This record gives sequence, structure tokens and C-alpha cells, in this order.
Amino acid sequence: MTRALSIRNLQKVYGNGFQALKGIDLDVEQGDFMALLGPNGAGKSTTIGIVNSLIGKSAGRVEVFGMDIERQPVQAKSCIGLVPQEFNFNIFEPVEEIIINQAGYYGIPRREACERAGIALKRLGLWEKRRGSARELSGGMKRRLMIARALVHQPKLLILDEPTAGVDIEIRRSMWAFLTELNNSGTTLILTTHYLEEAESLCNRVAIINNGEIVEHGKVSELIGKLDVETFILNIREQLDEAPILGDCRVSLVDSHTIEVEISRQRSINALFGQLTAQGIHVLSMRNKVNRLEELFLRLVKDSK
Amino acid sequence: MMVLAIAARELRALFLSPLAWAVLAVMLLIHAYLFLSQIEQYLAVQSQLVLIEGAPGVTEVVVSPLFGSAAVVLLLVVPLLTMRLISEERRSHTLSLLLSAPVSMAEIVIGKYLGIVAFLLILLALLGLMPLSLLVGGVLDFGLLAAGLLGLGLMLAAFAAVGLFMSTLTIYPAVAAVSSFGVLLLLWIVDWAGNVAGEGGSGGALAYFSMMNHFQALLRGVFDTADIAYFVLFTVTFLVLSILRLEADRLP
Repeated sequence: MTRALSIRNLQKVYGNGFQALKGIDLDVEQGDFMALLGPNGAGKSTTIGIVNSLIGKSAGRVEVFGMDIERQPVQAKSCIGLVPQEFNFNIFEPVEEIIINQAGYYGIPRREACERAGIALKRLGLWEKRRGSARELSGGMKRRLMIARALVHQPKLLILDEPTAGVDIEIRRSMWAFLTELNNSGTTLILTTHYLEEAESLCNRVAIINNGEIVEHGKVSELIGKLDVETFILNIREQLDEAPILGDCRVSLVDSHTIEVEISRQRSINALFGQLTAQGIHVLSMRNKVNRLEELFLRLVKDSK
Repeated sequence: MMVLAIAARELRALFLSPLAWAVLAVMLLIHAYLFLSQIEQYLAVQSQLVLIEGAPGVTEVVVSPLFGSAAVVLLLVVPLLTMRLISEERRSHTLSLLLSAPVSMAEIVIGKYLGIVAFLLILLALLGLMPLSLLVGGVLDFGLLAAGLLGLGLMLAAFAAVGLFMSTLTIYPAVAAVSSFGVLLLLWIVDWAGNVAGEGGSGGALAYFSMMNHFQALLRGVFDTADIAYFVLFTVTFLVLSILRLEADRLP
């Protein structure tokens, strides 16, 4: 089956000599939900910009559903929907018109565009707001409008650049549900986000980019399996003056009722609890210090520096 | 198809902003005043003109000066209409929507250009209605009227092309407006330097570049293909420059 996105030896050197991409290879299969992660300035936006023909590449090849973005730009672009990070629409335009105009850029006749806009607005809960101008929408609604607009030409590949940035948790959850539904219906999705919890919850694959290179790429479950240690925060009933000694685990005292324990993934947590109980320490609650993908991300980024 | 979609969107966006309505209202108000003043002047000398053989008619006395004034006023107004075409898209990051859509750079530029030209044609049609109202009580020289309208139309098309190009150069609409006005004014008055330099050599070349010279010929009813070619080449040049400027954004 043709890949949704195939990137080979992609390089980008900007006019000022800065090498943003150092020859990356990346494959996204049809139906994948992939997270593209990386710290600021790692090369995520450049990669997305090149795939969307917003930025010219210095070298390499990019194919979207088997179509080269340079040799078959019209066909390749027709397959992609883009939801950029910043709000980019005329705030004075009616919500419905924003979507219909976008459809026009893809050669969709106005009547059909109106029908598709209606479907997209209903799916994203904006139907009631269709006649009002975009400036009347809340932040979450504006984000949903951008997704509705990107979907109007029914792209096979949807690229979302931090779609939930600055969105409250309730709207974020509803957007997660919508994106999952979209992926289940066959749309391939690529997501960039700084919320690694989001990537771990939604995506089946992840690519981590740093300093213009892909430092890790694969299934989320496989990548998390590479973590050798996890860090937990334990709230305890007893008041402690110093950190307890728990075999080969690294333990530090956060405050008198909280300890931080770094435990090898090969070790059983039951054994940890046994040691704590033996020392008369009772655990009231326990949580991961950071999300597992976040822990892996931080390690990989640190290692690649 | 895509060009028309972009042009239609541009025209709709223009009418969604108060600027387009304000421009239409102010232009019609000013020109209604000028038109009525010209008619009054014509009526004052009409009795004497009747006695002169080959004297100018109402079209020469009223319509040609009206279109001449319209060109000067539009020299100021068109940059205000074109200033946002690309610069605003850049500023609000909406240009990326066009660049990532399956449309070529030429389609984007021509679509936007046709959108603004459509608006200017609406304005031209409304201005054209004023002379036509003279048919109620007089006779018009339709050849002269058509040449004047053609000249004004070509002039507006050239103004819009310059304005569009200037809008591709900056993210600030105000800068685009001021620079468009500067270029248009320079091309309008370049003839003055030509007059000082004399008829031949550089003076002749400068006079050729003056928009006013080519427009004045059409306003007098002189239909010369060289004048038409000047405006067409002028417009095409600035449209090509606009396409190249936007293409430069995507170059590796």
C-alpha cells in the first residue's frame, strides 16, 4: 500500500546558513495517527512547512500518497489538510463563508461547498454560529473552525500543528475524541504537540526530532518500552525527616510527606511497597512524576545534545 | 476556475469591509459635485459655443474633464484598496492557506488582481452612468465617451497592478499604500522631467513612460494601439513581478 507520507533525506538550509533539517527520513503509513515531537527550533515546523509547500526544501524528496510534492504539486496538495497553530482567518468574515471560501481554493463548486461546510460545522459543534463573524467565537471554537476548514476538501492526510495549544481541558478532550473518530474513519493524522500526554493518548506512532534530525521513530508502545526507569511521586502518611533507603532505588525527599522514587522497570513495584511497609511507611497515593512519553522524550533530547 | 474562486472571495471580502463602501460613497459624491460643476460651466458658455463652428460639445466639455479628475482622485484611492491584497494575508498568516492549496502562484496573483479589478469596474460603471444621464437633454459623442472609459479602465487596471505588487513587498498595508502612491505619482509626473529635458533623447523616453500622456490621448478620443499596448504591458509587467516575488518566498 502506498505510504501517506514518505520523506527521504530532507534537508533545509535557510538563507542565513542555519541548517534546520539535516537529511531526515520519515514514513507515515495510511491510517496512522503520528505525533511529531521535538523541542522548539528542532525542525518540526520546517518539516510541516515543506510538506505543505509553504517552505522550499534544499534537498531530498517528499511524497504524499506516492505523489512528489514538486512534480505533482496540485495532486499532492489536494490530499493534505493543514491546521496551523495560529488563528489564520479574516475575523470579520462569517464562519460559514470562511469554510466555503477554502473549499473554493480546492475547486469545489459553491453549492457543494455549502453542503460540506454545513456537515463540517455540525460535526464540530459550530452550526449555531455559522452566520456570525469569526471574531464572536471563543478560543476553542476558533480552533474547531480551523479543523472544520481543513476538512472541507476531505483530505486523506490531516496535519495539525499544536491544535490544542491554549485550549481548556474540556475542549481539549472533545477535540481528542473528534480526532480519534476521524482517524478511525480512515484519515491519516500527523500531530505536533508539546503535550506529551496528548501524544501518548492519541497516537499510535511517534517521531521525535531534535536539531534537525529524527532521533526516534516508531510505535508509541515500543518507544515507551525502551524506558529503563520510571519516576514516581509517593504521598505518605508518616512525617519523614530524611529519605528512606529502598535498596537500589534512588529516593529523594520532596517534603516531609512526599518522596520521589526512581525505579528500574525490571523491578516489581510490589517489592517497593513491601520495603516501605517494613519500614512502617504507609503510602496514601502514588503518581508518575511525568508522563512516560515525556520521560522518554526528555532523555532522548538530552542524549542527542 | 480557481482564479474565479479567488477573485470572488476577494470581491466579497472587499464588500465585507467598510472601506469599499466608503470609497464608493466618497468617489460618487466627489464626482457628482465635479460633474454638476462641469455642466454648470457648459451651460454658461453654451450660447456662445453654438455660434462657433466645430466648437467642443458636451462630451468634450463635461465628460473628458470628469474622467481626467477621476484618474487623479483614483491615483490616491486605488492604493488604499490594493494595500491589503497580499500584505494583510501575510500579516494574518492567511497566505499559507493559498500557498498550501492546489493553486499556482499565478492563479493566486491573477485571482486577487481580478477581484480588485472587478470592484474598480463597478466604480467605473457608476461613474459612467453620470455622463449617460446627459442623454436626457442632449447628445453625446459615444466614441469619445467609450475612449474615455477605456482609458480610465486601463489606467485603473495599471494602478491595481502596481498596488498589488507593492502589497507583495511588505507586511504593512500602510507601507504598501504609500509606496504604491509614490510609484504611481512618479509614473504620472515623469513627463514633467521629460518636458524640461526637451523633445528628443531622454526627454522623449521619459514622456513615453508617463501614464498621463497615454491616458490623455484616449481622453481626447485618439485610439492608438501604442497607448493600449503601453497599459497592457505595464499591467502584465507588474503582475509578473508580483508572481515572482511570491515565488521567491518558496525558493529553497
